[in-house]
Order: sequence, then structure tokens, then C-alpha cells
Amino acid sequence: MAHGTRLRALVLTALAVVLAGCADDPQPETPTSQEPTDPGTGQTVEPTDAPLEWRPTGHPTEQRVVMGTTWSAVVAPGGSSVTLTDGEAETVVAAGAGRQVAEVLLDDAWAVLVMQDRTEQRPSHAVTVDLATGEQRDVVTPEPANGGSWAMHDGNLYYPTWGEGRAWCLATLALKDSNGEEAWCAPPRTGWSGLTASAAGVAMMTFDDARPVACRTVALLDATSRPEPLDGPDPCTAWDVAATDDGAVWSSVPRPRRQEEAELHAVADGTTYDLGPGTTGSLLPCGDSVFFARDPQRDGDPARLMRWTPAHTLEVAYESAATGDVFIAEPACAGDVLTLTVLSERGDEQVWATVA
Amino acid sequence: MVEGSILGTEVFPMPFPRPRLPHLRRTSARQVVRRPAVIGAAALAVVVASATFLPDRTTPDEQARTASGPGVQQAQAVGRTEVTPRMRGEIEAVVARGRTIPQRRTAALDKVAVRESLARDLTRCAWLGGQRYCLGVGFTTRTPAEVATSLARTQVLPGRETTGDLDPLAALVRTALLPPRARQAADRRELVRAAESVGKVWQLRQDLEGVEVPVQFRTAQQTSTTTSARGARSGDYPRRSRILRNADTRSQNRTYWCGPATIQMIAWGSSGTKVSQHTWARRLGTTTAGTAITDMVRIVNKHTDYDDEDHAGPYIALDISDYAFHQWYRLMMRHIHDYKAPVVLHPVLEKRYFPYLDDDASGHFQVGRGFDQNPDGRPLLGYYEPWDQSKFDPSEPFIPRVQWRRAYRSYRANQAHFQRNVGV
Repeated sequence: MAHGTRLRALVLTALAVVLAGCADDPQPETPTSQEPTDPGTGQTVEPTDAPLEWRPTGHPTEQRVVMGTTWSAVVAPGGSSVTLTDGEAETVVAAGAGRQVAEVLLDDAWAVLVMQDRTEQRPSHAVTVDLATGEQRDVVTPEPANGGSWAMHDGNLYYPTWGEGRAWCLATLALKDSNGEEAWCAPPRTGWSGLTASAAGVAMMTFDDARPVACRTVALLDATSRPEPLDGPDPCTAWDVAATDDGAVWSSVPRPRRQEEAELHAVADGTTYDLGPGTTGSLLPCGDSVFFARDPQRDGDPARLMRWTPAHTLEVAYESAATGDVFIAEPACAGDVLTLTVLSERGDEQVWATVA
Repeated sequence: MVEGSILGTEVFPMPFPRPRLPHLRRTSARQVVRRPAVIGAAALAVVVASATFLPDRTTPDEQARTASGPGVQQAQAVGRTEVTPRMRGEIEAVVARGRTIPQRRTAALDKVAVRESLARDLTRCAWLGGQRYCLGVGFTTRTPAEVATSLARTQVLPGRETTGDLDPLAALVRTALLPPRARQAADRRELVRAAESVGKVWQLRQDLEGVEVPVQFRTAQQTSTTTSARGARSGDYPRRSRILRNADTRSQNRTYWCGPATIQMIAWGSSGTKVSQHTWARRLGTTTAGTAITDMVRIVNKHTDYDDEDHAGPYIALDISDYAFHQWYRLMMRHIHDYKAPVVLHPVLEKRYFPYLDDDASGHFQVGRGFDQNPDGRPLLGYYEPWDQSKFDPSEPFIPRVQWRRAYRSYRANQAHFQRNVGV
């Protein structure tokens, strides 16, 4: 190569390096929703319409409502109290000074109400209510942490507690006798969140403190309540997870700067299924199925609640009347009853349905 | 008159708008000369610039689309409005009303009756050049009674995780706790700043609501041409646009410092220099109760060049309660693309709007800095998120500060904040 040519090549290479270094954002920040983001490696599942029988809750959408088979819970504006009612009896549980209602867990037998400290400095105050007798008890041991994720199923409560050396630990408690214990503690520089519980099992997301993005893994709890990482999700990208009788459903967030946009997957009897797009944080086991919200993907699309069934089918359990600017906010489950709040430019609605 | 009719016949001289200039970071020449490495970097920057490869710029297609958009007219920011004697009179009348409010030693804000009484006493609004400005709240189309009712119903008081947005009733109480003389001075300063922004409010209302701008508030450009009352439309804008450097982002250092962290990122984009959140907290008057949005816009105006005429003009707290989503989104596009200036977003940080969170928090501040009309899907908003839960406990994993999301969710989170305003 001639000297001049070599010099030109060197200059061009240097310039290319400089230019590459100048772009603070080498990846396009805003790929369209149509661009393939997570091609998936499983079997694609096409959804079918199978709407549940939805009915209005009768409450304004500003109120957080959890409907159950017999009982319902209504959180007062501002989270200052929760009213439990079965249509006849009514129990009001106040959050207390400087606290707000952070979690409402409800099924046919129990209600667990978690009152979080406003500044998340003091431990959360949790009250269990035996719906058959009305008896209320505080969750004392292990002491609840000052924030974090809670879940309940079949008389068992799962919640965060601080362990030795400020370890972030999972506590389990039998509601009937308030017998609780520290079940597992996250190793140093790691944490966990996103607890879900159902008849199929308990699941959670674990994560480390890596930067620029934490490495996230989803796991199912084994018989000793220790998380066993799920086999299948791409490394470090998972977010939501719920157990099923023959596997699990999980979400992955392929683009860290689009935190709310997830791709859902299921594994059943060793086969992986691609369930399509969904909203991060919306995955919810309820009854015999697992549900997740899907925002409109194109102009003219409604918001949808998707259902992964034990028969390995994907169904559209709810479809909003509004299209375009509409989303499902924070779906809730009590036993086998779902409550949805749907916010749209054409009017909001809050509805509930039994998972048949 | 504290609440009066529009000042229709007065002439409010507007500063002659300077030509729009490319946004340059403020860097002193002395700093550059002292450092050979900086000189080298500057020379390299010239090479890079000559290669027309600049981050955060629109693509040629987008530029062409902007230039040829239907009826598009280069947005012209509005400078400061001259405060007329009549405005001064109105300001003094509102300040005088404050003299009758006794200095309070304490305020039991958990009592509804106390909140209602405080809100009634402390809600004071001025009618400035045909626009209503309420102390601590901003420019609004709501009546003073409606504003007072809204403040009295403030629901953050029973307890929310406070990421740093000071609720307006608490802000007013803070003022009420001041000695009368200090309170009057603070009120006067805030109202004068508001009066200086009236021209901008009119301009935005024309852009977004299609109202006719009174002749005295028209820009020179509008005066010299036939001005349509129609505001800009989404088709007038490129598909996507963004500002600020992603490297210049930080999470908030304390749970109640979303205000200082938001200002840190905005000011960093203006000056190119990072100033500590501690310094911004001091300048903002941030307490453990948080930061007021009126202080946020005050500091943007004082410490950045985004309030210049070649950017957004003076920042204001603007009530968006009457805005439909498409108007709100146009406000974002106007600010980000035309003004090349960030927006002080003011949402509630609740799970129903930010579904990846592990619990609900308080009112919040974020930096609005991009949009993508996303014609194949739904419109997106780009923003910098100062809140990082993982900094305070291991109940949520770290996520990047640079985020894009469906704009409609942000619009609803903004509308769900009882103050319903943004800093623009």
C-alpha cells in the first residue's frame, strides 16, 4: 500500500472511531413498535376471542377497587383507608398517620392490607383480616420491610423483610396461626421483586446491581421457598413471571429504554410459546390462568387483556371499546375474580369478571 | 382589581425577537485557552461538525418534512413581556390581600377543615394581561374557587412515598409561615415573573387552543403577517425529535430530590456543566417535603438559557387540565422541536401509569426531551427519569434514566396530578 493511501486509510479509520465515539446514542432510541425486537424462539400462538362477562364495579376509576367472589375492597382516595364489604358487613381499616394503603390482597377467606410509610423509612404495617370472623391481626414476625412486593395464596403470605446485614429477604407466613419465618435472603448486591402466587406456585424476579442495566432473572420458588431460575428466558432481560401447572409465563424487556414494553412467553411441558407483546408489570395469575395487558399496537387497536389458559391457548379476555389512546391500568385478582381499570380518551371504565 | 376583565386597550411592548440561533453551550473562552486538550477537542469537534454528523439532530428527511409541512411556520418563542403600570397595580392588589392573612405558626394539614380554610385563605390569583395566574399554582383557566377546592382536596397528605414534588397546599403553607414582610416580597417576585410571561402564555394558547392573540401580545412576525388562530398540527412536525445528551443524566440522590435532579439534567443540557444536586436543592428551596413547580420554572429561567427568545422564552407553570391528549402532545412537540427546550413534566408516580414500579409514590418531576409520533403505532414521549428505586432499597432493579413510553400514559399521569400543570 502506498504511503499516501495508508495515511488516508488511517485518517479515515481515526475519523470513523471519533465519529462513533461522538454519538452518545449508537442505537436508535425509538424503534417503532413494528420493528422486530424479540424474534422469539418458541411456537407463536395466535389469540382467539373469548371475552369474560364484564360488569361495572360501580366505583369511579380514581378509586382502587378489588372485587372478590363475596367480598370487595375499596381504597379511599389518597390511600388513607380500605373498606372491606360483603354487601352486608363493612370493615374499615385505616392506614394510619403518615401511611398509605400500598397493597390489597384478597381472596374468599382472607384480606391482607399493607400500609406503607409515606417516606418508606419505617417498616410497613400489615393487617390480616379473617373474613369469616372479622378478626384482625398485625403481621409482626418477621417484621415487614419498608417497601417491596407482596403476594398471597391459600392462606399463605409472602412478603419482604430485612435480614441480617440488611439482606433483602423473603418471609412466609401462615395466616391462620400467624406463624412466620424468614425463607430466603438475596445474596449481597442483589434483590428481588415482582412476587406472584397461585395454586401453581410462587414466582419472583431476582436482579443484581449491574449497570447500565440490572441483570434480571425470573425464578419459581422450590419447596423450601428458594428461587430456582426458570430455564428459557434470555439472560438478564426478564421482568414478570407467574407459575402455571406445567410451566410458567414470563415477560422480557428487550429494549431497556422502553421499559414498559415487554414480550410475553410461556413454557409448558417443555415447549416454549411466544405470546406476543404486553405491558411490563401487568402479568397476573388469576383462577386457573395467567393474564397480561396489551396496549394498542397500531392505530385503531383496542387495549386487550390476554389470557394464557391451562389448555395452552391464548385468549382475548377483555377488549376495550375505545381504540388508540387507551390502556389497562393495574389489573387486580381476588381468588378467581379480576378487576380492571381502563383509561381512555373516550371515557374510563372499571369492570370486573369471574374467571370461568 | 384582583380579578378583573382583560386589559384590552393597553399596549404591551414586546421585545423584538432576535433571530433564532443554533443552541450553543455556554463555555468561557478562558477555560478553552487554558487547556490544550480542550483546544484539540474543539478542533476535532469542528471536523465532526463539518462532517454533518451531530447527535440529537433530525435526519435530512425530517428536516425536509419540517420545512415543507402544511402551513408550517417556524415557531417563534416569545420574550419577556414588559410589566405595565396596570399589571403592577394588579400585583400590588394581590400582595395587599396577603397582608390580611395572619402568620401561622403551625398548620395541621391532616385535618380537612384546616386544609379547606387554608386553601380558601391562601389561594390568590391575579388577572394579568387577560390571563389568570394563581400563586403557587401557575397560569390557569380555572376560577380561584375551583383552584381552592382542588388544593383543599389534595390527597397526597395522608401519605405517599415522596419522590420530591412539593404539593401546592404545602407550598402555600410554607409561604403562610413566613413573616408578613417576607411573604409579601415572595408573592411580589412570583407575580412579577408571571407578568413577564403573559406573552408566552398567549402564544401557547394560540398554538394549542386556537385562541386569538390580542394585538399587544403578538410577536413582530405575527404582526407583520396574517396570523391564523389555528395552532400547529401534528403533521407540521417531523416524525421524531429529541434534545439533550443522554450522557448528561443522573438519578436523584435523595428520595425527595426529584426536583434538584430534574433541574440538574436540564441545566446540564444548557451549560454543558454538571452542577451538584445539593446546589440545585439549595437554589430551589427544596425541603424534605419536596420542591414546588413554581420554583422549578423560576430556576430554569434564572440558571439556563432555555428561557431565551431563541429557545422557549420564560418558563411558566401552565395548567393543562383543559387539554385533550392531542393538545398536550402538541405542547410537547412545540417545546422540544421548535423551541429546542426541555419540558418540566409533572406526573403522579403511580403504578397505574408507570406499571413497572413496585409501589405508588407522590407527585414527581421528570425531564421531557423527545417525541416520536410513531405513525405505525401510538405516539411516544421521550424523557429522563430521575427516580431510581434501587438506590434506596433492593425492591426494584435499576433501569436506565433514558426512557421512551406511550405519551398517553404520561398525559394521564399529568392529568391525575391534582395540580395538572407542566413547566414549559
